[in-house]
Formats: sequence, structure tokens, C-alpha cells
Amino acid sequence: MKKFNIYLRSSLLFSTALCCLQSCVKDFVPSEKAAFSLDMAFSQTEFRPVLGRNYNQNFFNDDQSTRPLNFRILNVRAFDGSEAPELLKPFPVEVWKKPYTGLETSLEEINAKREIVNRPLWEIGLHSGSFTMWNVASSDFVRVEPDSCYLFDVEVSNSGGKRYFKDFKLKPQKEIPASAYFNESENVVGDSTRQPILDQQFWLNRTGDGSSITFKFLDSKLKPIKLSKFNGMTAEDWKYLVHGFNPKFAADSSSVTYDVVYPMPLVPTLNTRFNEGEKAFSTFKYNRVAFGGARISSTYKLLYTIYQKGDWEIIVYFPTQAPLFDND
Amino acid sequence: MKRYIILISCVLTSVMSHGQTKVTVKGMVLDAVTNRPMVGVSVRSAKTDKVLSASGSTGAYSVSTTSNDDLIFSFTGYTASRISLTGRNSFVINVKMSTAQNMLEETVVQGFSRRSRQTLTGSSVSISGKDLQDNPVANITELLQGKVAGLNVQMNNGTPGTRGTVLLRGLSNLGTVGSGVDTYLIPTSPLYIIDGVRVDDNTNFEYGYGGAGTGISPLSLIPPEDIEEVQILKDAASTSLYGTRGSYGVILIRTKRGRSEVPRIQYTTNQFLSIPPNLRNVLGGKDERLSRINQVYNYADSYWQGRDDINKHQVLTDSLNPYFNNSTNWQGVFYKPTYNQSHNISASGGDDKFSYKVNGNYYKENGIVQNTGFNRYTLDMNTQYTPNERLRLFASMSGKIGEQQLGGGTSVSQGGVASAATASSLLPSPSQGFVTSDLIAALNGRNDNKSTNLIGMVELEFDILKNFRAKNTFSYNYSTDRTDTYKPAIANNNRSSFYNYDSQTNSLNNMFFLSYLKEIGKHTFNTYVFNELDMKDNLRKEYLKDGFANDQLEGPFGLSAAKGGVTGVSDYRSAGFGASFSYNYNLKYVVDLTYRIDKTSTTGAEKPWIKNPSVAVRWNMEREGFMKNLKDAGYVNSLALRGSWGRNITPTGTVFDAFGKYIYTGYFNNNPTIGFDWKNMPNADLKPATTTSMSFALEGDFFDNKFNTIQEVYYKQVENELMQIDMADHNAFGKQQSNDLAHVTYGYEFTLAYRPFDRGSDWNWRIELNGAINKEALTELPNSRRLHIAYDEAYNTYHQAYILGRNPFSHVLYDYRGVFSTDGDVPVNPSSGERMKMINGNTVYYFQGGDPNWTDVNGDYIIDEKDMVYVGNSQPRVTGGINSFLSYKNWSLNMMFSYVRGRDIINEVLATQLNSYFDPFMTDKDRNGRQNAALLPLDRYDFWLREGDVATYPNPFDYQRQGGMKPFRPNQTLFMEDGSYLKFNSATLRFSFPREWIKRYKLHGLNTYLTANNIYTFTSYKGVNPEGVSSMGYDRSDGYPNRRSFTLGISAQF
Repeated sequence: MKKFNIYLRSSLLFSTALCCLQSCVKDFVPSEKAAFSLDMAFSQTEFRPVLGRNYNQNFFNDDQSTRPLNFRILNVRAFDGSEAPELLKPFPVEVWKKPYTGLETSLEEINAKREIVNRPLWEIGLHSGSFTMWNVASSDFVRVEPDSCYLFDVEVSNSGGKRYFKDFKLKPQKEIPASAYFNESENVVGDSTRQPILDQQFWLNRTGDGSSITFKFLDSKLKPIKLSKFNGMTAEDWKYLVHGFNPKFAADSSSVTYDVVYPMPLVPTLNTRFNEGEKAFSTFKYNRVAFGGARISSTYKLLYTIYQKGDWEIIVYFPTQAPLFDND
Repeated sequence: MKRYIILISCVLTSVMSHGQTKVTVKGMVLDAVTNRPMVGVSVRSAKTDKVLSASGSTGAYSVSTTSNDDLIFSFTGYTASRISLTGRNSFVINVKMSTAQNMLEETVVQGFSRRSRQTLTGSSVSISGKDLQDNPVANITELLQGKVAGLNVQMNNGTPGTRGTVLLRGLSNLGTVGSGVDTYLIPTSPLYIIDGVRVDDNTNFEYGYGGAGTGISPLSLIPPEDIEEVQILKDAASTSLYGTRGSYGVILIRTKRGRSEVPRIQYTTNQFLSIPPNLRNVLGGKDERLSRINQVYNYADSYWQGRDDINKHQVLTDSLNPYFNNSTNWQGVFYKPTYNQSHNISASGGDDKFSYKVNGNYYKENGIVQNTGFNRYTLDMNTQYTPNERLRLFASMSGKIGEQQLGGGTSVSQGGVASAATASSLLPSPSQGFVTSDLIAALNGRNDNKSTNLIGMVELEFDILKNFRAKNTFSYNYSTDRTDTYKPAIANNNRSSFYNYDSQTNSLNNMFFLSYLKEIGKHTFNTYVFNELDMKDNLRKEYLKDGFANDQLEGPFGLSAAKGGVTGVSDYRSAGFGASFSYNYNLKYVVDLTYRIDKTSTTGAEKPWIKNPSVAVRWNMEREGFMKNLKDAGYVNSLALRGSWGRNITPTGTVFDAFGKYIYTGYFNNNPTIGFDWKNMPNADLKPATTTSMSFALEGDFFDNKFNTIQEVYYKQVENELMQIDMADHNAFGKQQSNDLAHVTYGYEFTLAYRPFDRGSDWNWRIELNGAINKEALTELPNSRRLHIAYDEAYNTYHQAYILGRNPFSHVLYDYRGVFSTDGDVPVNPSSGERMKMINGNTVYYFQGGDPNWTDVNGDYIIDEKDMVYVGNSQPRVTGGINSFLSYKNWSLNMMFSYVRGRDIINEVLATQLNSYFDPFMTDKDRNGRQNAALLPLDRYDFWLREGDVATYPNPFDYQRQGGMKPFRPNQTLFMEDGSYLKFNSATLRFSFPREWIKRYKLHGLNTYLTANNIYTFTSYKGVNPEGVSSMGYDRSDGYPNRRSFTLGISAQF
């Protein structure tokens, strides 16, 4: 019994010492916390999103802080200090739940990939710190420049610390519903000069609140050029003129209308057969037998971006001379 | 219980006498286990306390003393035997000596004094030289692996003659050099002291790793056969007297001494076969070709495109062409078994007045990689002269030469060979003009390194008065290191080149001691003071010349023909003064106090003397009354508690870090100008790194010394470590060496030893288990940060994260969560409608089925560096070993194991191999199938093949996207593996020929043994060898594999 006592005593002593040391050490060693650098910064403090389209930009540098960081927008207010409920209130916005590929074959398929959720118009990515202005924001109810617009604060935090960035300026810009760019054409010559056409106009007209797009060509007398003149267009070319469906040709072949979804292009960061970056394009082709019997292929490519939903009409007007479609 | 067996054989005469009659006592001294005669056992008279004689070459002794005397037989490492002559009538006495199994009777070193383990307050371990023999290795640190709790030896590199990583009690310093995969811990090997001469194993790293230097470890120049004892001093109480250089622990190596009156010649030879370990599996010949063709068919844009591509590449289609119709085993070309040998001859002799020893050693090892190897030639001698009891003179001299051939690699990697060994098996085996230039340099080039070392040492000890002793030790060490490399023209863009590096180091050390020992009753006081002077200078020169007429003619050389000059000069001085006071009461309570102050030439002018104090205590409980019953019953033989506190200070950084540097800045007005170096801002406040450590231990021997244990806990705190920080970009200076890095290491060490058989039995078995559990935490970072990332500036792959409160080095990796089973599993960015993507240059890669699923930490649907996580610990958490020694009569079997638990290593080898399918056509213009083209057989791996597969590894075949997507990037958690292992280090079967068999050949002893080294590693690690990884835990694909060796050895004593 006695020897047991000794063992007991000495092992007790030893293990007490061991525990003591362990707990002492715990006190010496700092506990591990998330790093939170005070040098973290946004490289920009004034944000000027154009309304009517999705804006998504990241200006944050975390300077070796432990990720993920949490971001929050606080105190959104008008420049004069009054409340700005329009930016806080959730709005129904269209988001993607499945990836857009550009290969969708019907409107339903595209729409099935999107859904409506309620989001505030001015948001910050929970962990990424990127700012988002949703495309449903409209100058009808959001202040735009030249008003001084809004101020807001951002809270950045992780378990290691929290920091407020104060008085960031938000100055939304008025919508630009659509843009047309210069077209790119090849071998398109005028029917009077037989030289490349220099003079042409490109009109984008919103004619209704539906969701369609119509193409029309007008000659110098504002008479429609028959689309049947574009003899290089195969059935497939017409099918893939835009990412739209159910092409409907006018009875006199003066225009073609597609059912589409907006904005166009749908995903500006993804290149498909319908867009180059943020520019959507539609290509018209024809060919003719030229002087000396050579067959010349010509293409006429329209480049445009449309943000606002509606019945859009794209009209190409040749004020001086129409393209030459006839054989020599 | 009697601890020794005395055999009395009655043979002879006796003069029945009474009282103080003079008698002559004769007999033999034998080893109780092996029954072999023991030479040099000292025979002392208990009455006069004088050494009367020592046993001779045959083990015989003869002394003349009085008949009422007691004789004490003693020998290092053996239990002393006391034999009383009183009442005897026969004076032929044969004595059997048994090894000191009681750890308390060992003598160990603490500070500068040798003392019995009973009075040891610090933490030291002693290893007998016998345990380090019978296994030929280039560097003795390999043999220390798994022997000592808390000594972590990793043979992370198989290049013969280089060093492994040696860490005592965890990380001692967080300094690193290089970046990315080339990051290495600045070695913090313990200070080695060989017979009183300091050898710095960290030397070649002084000016940064990867710079010039030979890579030969000075420890590789020590012949293991000549080692008598190795002492490892672990805590500050043992090392603080060594001052600035003792911070990383101290390892004392004592070589053999002459002991036998009759000169003894001992010859030992090892004949050994080194064989490459298991190498990688690859697909060969037809399998490789079909695999490539199949891959193209499946992953080309279309069937016809694939067909077209295949037809364009002759290597895939022209299977009848002898150039492509091969199945070459490239690894077999470069990795080959080699046959090696070593010879050691020593002559020794002498008695207690004068003794001498001469030892010559030759060791030759051809590396398993072609054109590499290591040779060692050494000649050591020492002599001791003790004309009377008051004066002792010990002198030693040694000359050592080490030669290392590195082929085309460096001392840590063999890039040329490693990449060439991954050539496609379809290509014919090497011939000039076909293989890569790296490889020609590796096989035909020359990279010879040579280190020479001349050491002289004199120690003079003198009793000035009774108990008052003076000792002076002077040593001088001259070493040169030389590298000669030659690259033939064909390997170097048609321009042969020659490079030479030459370095000379002189170091001089002098220590002077005054010691005083006083016993008053049960109180013993032992005190000494000393001073130490250290000088070291170094000069390095480099020389480069290229464009020789042909490969046979190297030259002409000359001052104007070549580039070169002095590339490094250093001069270091330090002076230290110290004192030690030790007190014990009846061997029951022991107190030690030491104090040392140092000044060195690298500490800033602002900083005064460096102070190194330590305190240590010990309580031998078995001497207390309450333990008496247990002790008498033999249950507890000894039980002691000890504890220590101490501080060691190491100057860090160079003199330039503290004072800045002037450099040559070009010509101005036709005159060379000197300007300030704006790269580094001087830090006049540079403080030396301070290591404060505490330890607390329980030691005990139980059940008749059959069971021994040491349990120890320790805490070590290192402050003011060096870390380079970037200055804000509006400063004139770019960077500064900051002092604000600190970490702590704490842990638990244990040693358990068990000896089941009784002493005197024919069987003897001792088994020991030791281990250390080590925890580390970072406690301070510069600029009060909690996180610091050291970016991999060279390769942008492996960053290192320093996180406060966590283990010092964390891997920075992409968090791998599996493979996307289908395209639909890839998350979609709701605002843009895109799948998760990765941007490489200007190309966007959308994730799809078969791609790796990396965590998008910041939720922006883009995988980039911001999604990397900080995980893992590249340092082992638990290390240790198992040693077993079993003997039966003349046979013995010695087995060694070592283990590591809990280490996160990056399996870059597997990453590279899985990536081998990235180029099925072998069209990459730099490689053409000559590198990274050996295909990994995938049948052992669970990888994604078709839509819907749930797999461990991503799709390896999609060669069109692999270059951009990099699914097998090594810096992801997929390749972070557990590097735990249990390694069967070695087994030695030894047979000692009985004396009767060899007597007729005039041999005094003959042993033969068979040893297998690096036998097998048990591990779940998927790579080749979890030990062969860099100190930061990267399994480099171009490392040098550790050899396996089988040895036949013979040792004869004449």
C-alpha cells in the first residue's frame, strides 16, 4: 500500500506540474484570431454607376487580412442627410440560377434559368466587397447626377476586428437604354457609285413595352429594302441572327422580328455566337456576280447593346445610296 | 541486490598473512555479457585512493597492495566493482564487469563539467559510440535519428556528404532563405564540439542558402568508427555556458582514447551496396503510345481534328521507326545501385601516465545518381600525458578531407537528372545531341567539391592548490572549401564554362578555467570561472571563365581572361566570461547557478554585453527516508525531479543589417564611385535573438533497474528573431531587417527503457521508446500584425503564411473540395449568369465537370489568389524512435526505428506526375518529351473520367484546358498530405568470434556483422518518401532520393 502511495504521490506531483506548465503556456501564447489589417482600403470612394444595367465592381484591397471578410453597407442617406429608402428597399431583380451558355433554344429555356428575387438596389458582396447596382434601378426614383445624390458607410469585419469606412459617395448616372456602334461591313458597295458606302445611319427605336427586336433596312427614299435581297442568308443564318426565337418576316419582306430577352447581350462577360463582349451583333450576308463573272460575298454586321427591355427596332438607313445587290 | 558477479577461481599459492602484508593480486577483467577481456580497466586502491594499474591487452592485471585493502575496478560506461581482499587467501581474482544499466551511474556533461547523472540538473543524453558503428554513413547525424527524445533528425536529402535537418526541441529560429519551393529553414543545427573543438555545421549557410559553398557538412568528415561517445545537451541549464552559440543545443563528440598498455591495432572495413529506393511507376512503350492516342481522340475538339493532330505527330504514329519504338526505363539510366567501401584503422595504446591513439579512415560512397558521390580521408591522433596527479596534458590533431561530386545538381537537388528521368519512354536511351543540356552537364560535367579541415587542440590542466584547478584549452581550426565545376560546350550553348569557388576559414578558440571543489561534511561546493575568446575569419573567392577552345582543354586562365575576385570577407570576434556555482547536499539536493556574459562583433554598438543566466535544481527523492522501503525492496532504484531555467542569446543578422552597406556604384567622371546600398535600411537597434527556456523532468529507475524512464516537459521562448519587412514605397530604402518576430515552443519528451532479462543471463535485451511532442506558436510579428504572407517571388506558387498564435509556418493553398461531377454542379454567379471561372492571363476558363472544386472564399465566383487558405504545419508535431538491442552469447541484433507523427507535406511529385498528360503530342518546344513526359499509370488513382463520376482527382486528360486551368497545381489542399511515418532505420546482426577460435591467428578480437540501412518506411503518404521533403515540407520533384544500403562489415583487433 505504501509503495502505491509513493507512486501515486510522485505521479500526482508530476502530472500537476505538467498541467501547470501546459496552462501557463496557454497564457503565454496569444490565441489565434483572424488578422485584420488597419491598412485595408478601397481604392475608390466615389461610385458612379450608370442606371438601368447591372453594375459590379470591386475596389477593395484587404492588405493581408484573414479572409473571408464580411462587408455591410450602412447609413445609406441622401447627400443632405435625409433618408434614402429607395436604395434600401428590396426590389424584384432577375438573377441567374443556371449558367447562360448562348446555346439555349427557346425563350422558356432562358427564362427557366433565371428567377426573380428581392434585393436592395445598392449592395455590397458579403465576402468579396464588390459593389452592385441592380439594373432595375431607374432614374424615376433614384437620384442621379447632377444631384449630389447619396452618401453611405461600409463596415468591414472579421472575427479579428471591425472597421468603418465613412461617407462614400454614390452618384448614379442617368440610364443609357441602348447604344449602337459603327457597323462592320465587307464588300458592301453603293448602287450608284459602286464604291464602299460611307454614308449610313443606324437607328435604335423603342416602339413598345414588349420584348422583341426588329431589323429593317431603308434606302435613300426611306423605302424598305427587302430582306430577301440578302441572298447569302441561309435558314440557319436567320435563326442565329440574334439570340431570339420565332423570326417573323413582314409580308413584304421589309422587316424581321424576333422574340428575345433583354438585356442584349444577356451575359456581356461571356462570348457566344451572338456577341463580342458587351456588344451584341447581327450579320446579314448577300452575294452577287460582279464584273467579269466573279461572285463576291458581302456581309453587313450590326453591333449594338440594348439594356432596357422593350420592342426595339433596329433600322439601318442609307441616306445617299443603297447597297448594290444586283449582278453585273 | 548485488549488481555484479564476482567469480573467484582458486588456482594458486597464498601466503596466509595478517595485517598489512604486501600481496600481489592478479587476474582477468572480463565483460560480463560478451565474456571478452576488457582492456584499460583501471584498478584503484580504496585505501590510498590511488590508481594502481589498468588491465592490459589480454584483460590481465596485476597489482601490488596490502592484504586488507579493497580494489575498485572502474571503466567508463560500466558499473564499478569493489572487491575486498580482507580475509582472502587466494589473490587470483577474475572480475566481470557489467555495463552501467543504471542511468544514474553514467557520467554526463552539463555546461563544461562532467558529472554523474545523479547530480545532473540540466537535460543531457549520452549515446555510446558503439551504437553509432556497424553502419557506414557519410554523415553521423543519420545515426542519431530516433536515438534521443527531442532531437529531430530528418534525412531530407540523400546527397552523400550533405546534412540532414537537425532540430533540437522544435524550431529554434524562424529564419528562412529562398522563396517558394526553394525556401529552406536557415539551419539551426546544434553546436557540435568534437574533443573540445567547435565545429559549426551551419557554416556554409552564413551568406545565404543557394549561394556559393560546397554543401559538405563538416560532420561528414568525422569517421563514426572513431567516436567513443556523443552527448546531447538539450536545455538552457546545460548550454547557457556555451553562450551565444549554444542556443540551438550542444552536441559533444568524444573520440576514442588509447587505453591499453600493449599497443592495439584495430581494423574495420565495411563493404556496402547502395541501392536506389523504389522509384516512380511510369507507363512504358506501347502502353504510353496508346494512352496518348486515346487521350487525343477523347479530348480533341472533334474526332477528325484529333485524327488530324495524331497524324501530324510522328512520335505517335510511326511505331515502326526505331527512334520512337522504345520502352526506355529512364530512371534506370540515372539511378543505379553502387558498390562502396570504407576502411578504418586505428592504433592506440598507453597507460594512465601516457596514452595515444591514431586513427585513419577512408570512406568512399558512389551516389545512386550517376556522377555523384562522397569520399572521406581522415587522420586523427590524440595523446594524453599525465606525469603526476597534478598535471594533465591532452593534445589532439586531425586532418580531414571530404570530396563530393554533385554531377549537374546542387547539394539539395538534382534538377537535370530528375527532369531527364521523366522523359518519355518512347525515346531511345541517351546519346549526345538528343538529351537535354541539363543532362549532359549532369553526366559529363564536373561539379567537384572539396573540404579540408585541419584541427589542432591542446588542453593543459594543473592543480594549483588542493581542490583548486586551472585548465586551459586552445584549439585552432583551418578549413578550406573548394568547388570546381565544368560544363562541356554541348551542355552550355556551345560555350564551355569553368567555375571555381574557394573559401578559407580560420578559427581560433581559447578557454581558460579556474575551478574549486570543496566538501564540508555532506555539503559539496563546486565552482568555476572561465573566459573564452573566439576568432574566426573567412575569405571567399570566385572565378568564372568560359569559351574554351574545346572540351579537353580547360584554359588558358589568367587575371584578364576571366571574371572573378573576392566575393566575401568576414572577420568575427567574441569574448565571453562566465561563472558556475554548484552545490549539493549529500547528493540529495543539487542547485546549479551559471552566468555568462558575451560580446561579439556582430552585435550593434548600441547593445551592451549579452547576458546568459541559468538556474537549475534537482531533488534525488530515492535518498529520502520515505523511499527507503521501496528502495530496499528494489522497486525503486532512483527517482528524481529536476527543473531548470535559462537564457541563451544569439546575435542575428549580419553587420550590414545593423550598419548598412556601401557598394560600388559605377563610374563617375572616370572614377569608380562608392555609394550607399539603398536596398536595405540599416537597423541600428538590431537586437540579438533571445531564447529563454524552462524544463521540468522526472527521472527514475525501477524494479532493479529493469525499467528506466525520463519524462520531461519544456517551454522555450525565442524573441527578437529576424524578419525582413518591406518599407513603404515613399522611403528611399526598400527593405529593413526587423527584430519583431517571436515564437514559443513547448512540449513533452519521454524515454522509456526496459530490460527484461536478469543481469548475468546469456540473454540481454534492452528496448527503448522515446519521443517528443512538440507544439509551436508564433507570438509576435512585425508592425503588430496578426498575419504575414511571404510571397513566393520566384515561382508564385508556394507562399508562406505566418499567423499569430498558430504554428509558425502555414501553407497557403487553394482549398480543394473534390471534383465537379457534372457541369451542373458548378456554382453560377447569379448576377452575371456565368459559371465559376478562373482567369489566366487574358483567357477565361469556366469550370466544368471534371474540374477541381476549389472553395471560393470571398464569394466572387472567380478563383484567384484571394481564395487561398492558410492551412497545415510543415513541421513535425511528434518525433521519436524505438531502439532494440538483443544479444545472446556471441550474437547480437540491433534494430533502430524512428517515427514522425503529424506533419503536413506538399506532394509536389504527385502533382507533377498527374499533370504528365498535359501534352500528348510532346510538342512543348523546350522539352520535346525529354522532360515531364513520363506518364503516370492511373489505375491506382480514382480520377474523373466522364460526366457524373464522383472522384478524388480531377480529370487528367483534358489537355486542351490543362495548361490554363492547372487542375494539378501543387499549391492546393489536394496535395497536402499527412507525412507521418515509421521508418525501420537499420538492423545489424553481429557475431563476435569466441576467443578460442581466433587465438591461433594472433587476433585479439574479431567481429563480423551484416547491416541493412533505410530498410522500409511505413507510411500512408502517397509520394515516394515522406522524409525526403524539404524543411518547409515540400516534396520536391527534383530531390535526391535516400539510398538503401546493405553492409558486410568486419572488425579485427590485433
